[in-house]
Amino acid sequence: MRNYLVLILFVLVFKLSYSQFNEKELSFTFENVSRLEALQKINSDTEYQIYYLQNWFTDSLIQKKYTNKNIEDIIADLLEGTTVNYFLYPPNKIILTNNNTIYSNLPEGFFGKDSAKVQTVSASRKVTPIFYAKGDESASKNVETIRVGREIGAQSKETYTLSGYITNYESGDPIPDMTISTNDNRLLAVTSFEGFYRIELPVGSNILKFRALGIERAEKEIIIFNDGTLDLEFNESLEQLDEVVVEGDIYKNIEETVSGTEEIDSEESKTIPLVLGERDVLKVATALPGISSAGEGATGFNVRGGKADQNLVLFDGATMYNPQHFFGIFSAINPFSIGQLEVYKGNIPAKFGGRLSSVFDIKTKDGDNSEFKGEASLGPVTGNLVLETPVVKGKSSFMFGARGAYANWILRSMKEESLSKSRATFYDGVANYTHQVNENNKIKATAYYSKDNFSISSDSLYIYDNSLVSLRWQHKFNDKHLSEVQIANSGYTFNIEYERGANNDFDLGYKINETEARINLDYLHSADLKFNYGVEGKLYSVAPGTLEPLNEESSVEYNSLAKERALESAAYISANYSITKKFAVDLGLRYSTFMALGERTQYEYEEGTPKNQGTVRDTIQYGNNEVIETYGGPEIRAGARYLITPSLSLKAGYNRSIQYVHILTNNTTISPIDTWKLSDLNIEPQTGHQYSFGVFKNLDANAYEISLEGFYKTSDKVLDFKTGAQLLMNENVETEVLQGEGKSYGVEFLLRKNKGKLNGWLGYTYSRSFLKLDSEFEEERVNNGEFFSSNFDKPHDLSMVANYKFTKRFSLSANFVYQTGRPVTVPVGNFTFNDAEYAVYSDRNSYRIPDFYRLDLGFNIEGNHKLNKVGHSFWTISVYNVLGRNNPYSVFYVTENGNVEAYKSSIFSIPVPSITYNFKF
Amino acid sequence: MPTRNRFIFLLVTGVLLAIGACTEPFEVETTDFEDILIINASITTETKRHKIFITRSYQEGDDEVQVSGATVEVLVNNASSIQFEEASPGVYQSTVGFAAEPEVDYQLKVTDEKGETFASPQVQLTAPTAIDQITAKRVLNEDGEDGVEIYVDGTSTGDNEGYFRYEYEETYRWESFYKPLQGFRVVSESPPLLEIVYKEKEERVCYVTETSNSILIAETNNLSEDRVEDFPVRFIERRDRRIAHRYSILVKQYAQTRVSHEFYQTLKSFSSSDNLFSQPQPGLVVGNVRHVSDDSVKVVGLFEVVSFTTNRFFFSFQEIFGNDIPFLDDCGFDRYSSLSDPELFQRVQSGQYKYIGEDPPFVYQVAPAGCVDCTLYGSNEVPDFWVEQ
Repeated sequence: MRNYLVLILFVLVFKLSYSQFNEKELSFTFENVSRLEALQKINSDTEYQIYYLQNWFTDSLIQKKYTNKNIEDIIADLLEGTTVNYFLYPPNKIILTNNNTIYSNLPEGFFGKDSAKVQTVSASRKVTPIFYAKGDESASKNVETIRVGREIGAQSKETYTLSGYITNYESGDPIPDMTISTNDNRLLAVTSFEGFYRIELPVGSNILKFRALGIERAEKEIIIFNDGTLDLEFNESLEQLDEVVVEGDIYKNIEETVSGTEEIDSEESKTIPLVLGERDVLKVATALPGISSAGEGATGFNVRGGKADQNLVLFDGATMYNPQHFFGIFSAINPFSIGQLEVYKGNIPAKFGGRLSSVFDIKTKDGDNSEFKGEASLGPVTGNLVLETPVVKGKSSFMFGARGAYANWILRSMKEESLSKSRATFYDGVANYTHQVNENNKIKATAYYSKDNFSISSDSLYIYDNSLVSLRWQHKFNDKHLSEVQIANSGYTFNIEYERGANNDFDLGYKINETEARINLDYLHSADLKFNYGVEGKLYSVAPGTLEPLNEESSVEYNSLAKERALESAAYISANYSITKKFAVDLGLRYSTFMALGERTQYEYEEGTPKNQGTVRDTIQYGNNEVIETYGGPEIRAGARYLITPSLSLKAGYNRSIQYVHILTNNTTISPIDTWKLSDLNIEPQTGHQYSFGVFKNLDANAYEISLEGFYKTSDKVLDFKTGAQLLMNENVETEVLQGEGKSYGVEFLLRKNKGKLNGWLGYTYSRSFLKLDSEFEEERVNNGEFFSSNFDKPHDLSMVANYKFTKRFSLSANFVYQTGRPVTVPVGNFTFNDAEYAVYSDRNSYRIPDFYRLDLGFNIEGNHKLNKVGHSFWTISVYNVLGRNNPYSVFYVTENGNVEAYKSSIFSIPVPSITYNFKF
Repeated sequence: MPTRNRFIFLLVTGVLLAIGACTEPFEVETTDFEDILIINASITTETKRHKIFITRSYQEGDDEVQVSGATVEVLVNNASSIQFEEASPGVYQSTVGFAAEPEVDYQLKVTDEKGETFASPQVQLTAPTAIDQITAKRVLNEDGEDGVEIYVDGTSTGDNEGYFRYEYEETYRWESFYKPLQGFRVVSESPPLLEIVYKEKEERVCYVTETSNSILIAETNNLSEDRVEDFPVRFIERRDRRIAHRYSILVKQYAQTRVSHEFYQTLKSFSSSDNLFSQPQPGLVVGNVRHVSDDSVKVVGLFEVVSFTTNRFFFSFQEIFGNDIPFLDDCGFDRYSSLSDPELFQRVQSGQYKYIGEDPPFVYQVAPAGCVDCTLYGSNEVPDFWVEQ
């Protein structure tokens, strides 16, 4: 705006000078030169001096031939089709202006009414020159002035039509639903789905306001001289308000090419009442369709009927092996430290791999680089603190989070005997450093550590920890080409310390570690075609078991199973292509390989016999880094989206993935002391296919989102175990392993309301999940080799999360869950052995425990929002399981005093109230 | 903006709480019952007529199903065989007494009453072991209960796989609450009349014997020595009647194979609930007995030939607990003023009530038989092995 001109010229001598420019006849030939060059030529070859700015002209080439023309005709012709006007200033100056016309006389009444002069208005045309004066400085702050068209000597109309496309500056995507209004809030137009607008503007200066959700508010001054087109680009909103962030994606659910993704905002989840007042994004995830856990106290998640080891949990890009504390009751992720959790349960982008069912992509938030901030909470079980501080203001920041638990008092107060003997302590810490080196380079380093100690009986202590570090460098080559280089290391270890004071006190340890390097590139070819490609490599190292004496009195012999090592690598490319405005595809191909590496001993088993120690045929020694076995294959990730209307779309997807590492567990639900096993000579990788289809619809100006998705999944070489398998410290663990087929299918319905006083969602899933373990040998067969319900096959799953805001400060939230009871294995009879009665089991999962339902209520009180307050507080008073429903978690058959007794156990059988205090500063 | 003075945080929390995790009895609707043959065959180094137990699975609430009419034999070195005959339904006893011998291949063959034949692989006797000592110590157990724990130390004296199994037989002195020297005798039934005579039978002190029925297994294969130390075989609460006076335990130690160990280990893990959060996946526990031709015929069978050794241990209450309070018995009584009282007569006649004394004279006190007659629980004969303090 500062370079705008006020141009008023007083030209006194007119008639005379005018004639001078017509006297001379000139001849020019311009062959493939730019207008600028043509003007330069005229400047140098004639006596005329032409004044102009170079940037008014484009580089487009012209072909013109003038023979004996006067200079005015030549200039007028040269400027045809540009926004540049000319003014002939005697004796030999030609002044060019952009947009404006230089008037040789002032309009009527410019100096007030001249009563002495009698004005005669010329015949038919009324000339309305356009002058604009520098307006009020403060009002026009940041208002860019755009000139449209060229003023021609005589303006014929009072309004002109302006049209064009409005796009997002960063993504190049059209901005739909953007309102264009005048300064006095009169609505002129709303952009179409393609970002197109058409408005009628009064000739001259117009201040226009542009508003769209998720887009920076903008005002522009449009000076219109003619009908014209104007394409505009706007930045995304930089405001940190959640509402804006969320609503910026209003059509994301409709438009995204891939289906089966869920996003959870940590801040958004704070009002959802959860057990013991613990905010937990992972628990919130299980309230969404397709994601569930086997039960209230179960570790792990089951996504679309997949096993709990088929989920890749990424924490700032590094694998997190166990994201939960104390079995599944608490999340190991500090809710204040994370920004967002994205769950891919359908189409997994090609850049992710290594697990069959889902990817939980958790990103920590960057520390605030402008001021020191913090957030703390105190609940009945944990205390939590997150601090953010700038290091170099505006450039780099540090974020630190710590959380500790004091759960023992709760366990002690439990009536349940087996729990009152339990002890549990856990803590976790996270730190990250973000440095915006310059516009094109950003570095982020993250470190995380969590540790759990728990005991179920007095002689055994279980300890497990997760640790990870990741370093990520984002580099922008140019606006179209972005790269991300990451190195990460993560590990999981557990120990079982057994101490009874006799000669067999031991410490059993397990350790898995992976080091990963990845280069991920995004190439935005155009608004319609985007590529994502890269390579990654991962080196695994597993110490599958180490047994050592716990103390000097112990005569336990040190024993360590041979280390397992492997290299998993992958290259991938995916293209997101909008073939038409309505039809878009996302085609990805990932090729992964896995090499099990020495140094190791592997056993070969007789073919045609069940694997056991008696059927070992050969023992093979592999040297250091010698390849034991190579697995690999293409993984296709394909998705397509068709927009029927801007708010209704159909999506379909196909997904193939390969998983090379497996959890070994012989429990009905996984536990923290289950080991991860790498594929090797005898254990093959799991593969999975998923077909999905969905309909997505937004209603009522995007206040409601509705989706209906269906999926069908098959998997192969899924791991299971022989009855009573010994998995710890077993050198021949493959003899205990069965590999079978998995099958699941389902329909997921989600209704989400994002706006208004009442918001939340209602999800319903009907799905089935089966497993088949067949073999020619009876001992390797389960349920006669037929498909049977998996441990987490819960056909009906309904969940509702609702939050009602009474005022800005008070809100009530409710959370309701209904699920079919999970399958359990019950006896097919009893038998007596050595004077005691035992249950005999045969068919797996032939019975279901009673259905599960639970209602939780929470009341949230926000502190007041006075600006000068030191901080902001937030109270949550919640009651978990308000109905006091005694939901069975499992059933078991115990031989007590020689008789079989059946019991069912539940984790939270009565209402559990709690108060949590959060403070932000 | 100044941030330092914005750093204040105070945290308050009030909480409630008595979490209600709970475990409660549960009735399962009858599911598909499966009839499975159960074979329990353990041959030991004890010279006796060994017994093999053959039963079938039964439905919850039903009685045990004993298999009658099966043919049972143990092949020795694939040449000779030891025949077993049906001693009672479900119990098959060797026709001759024998003890398992080392370096001999034994194989079990069973043809059930339906004609299906099952066999074990050939198994050999495990190496001998010794029980080094048995000790008893006062402890607080997992549940915080005060009591005595009995430990055993055992060593393998030969080349074993490092798996031990224990059973025990406990015998304790039972003293009746009332110890009258006299009792009622029926003089006539009609009219009802009783008289008081000196008792001929010892009813005051008896010896009760009970056998273990829990799975007690230990493994030493991770240790540098094939030795079990302080293995807890039995915990008894201080105020349990078993240890009120004098207590004796006969510990039986078996050296078992890995196959047996895994069988018992699995059976044990499926029949206990250690961890509420993560349960083992139960399935059919198969031992080493299989159908000879049809893999799909289900059978739960364990055949083992195991070395066996025993040791006995005694203690009295005071040795462990000093002068602390032991089991306290309590019995009520009723009074009758006439020896011809029809109600008294009827009670005595039924055997439910016994005479305990007269107070005041000619007012007859009676108590439930269990308070007077210890032979209802055990034997009034002092066992041969019994050693008083």
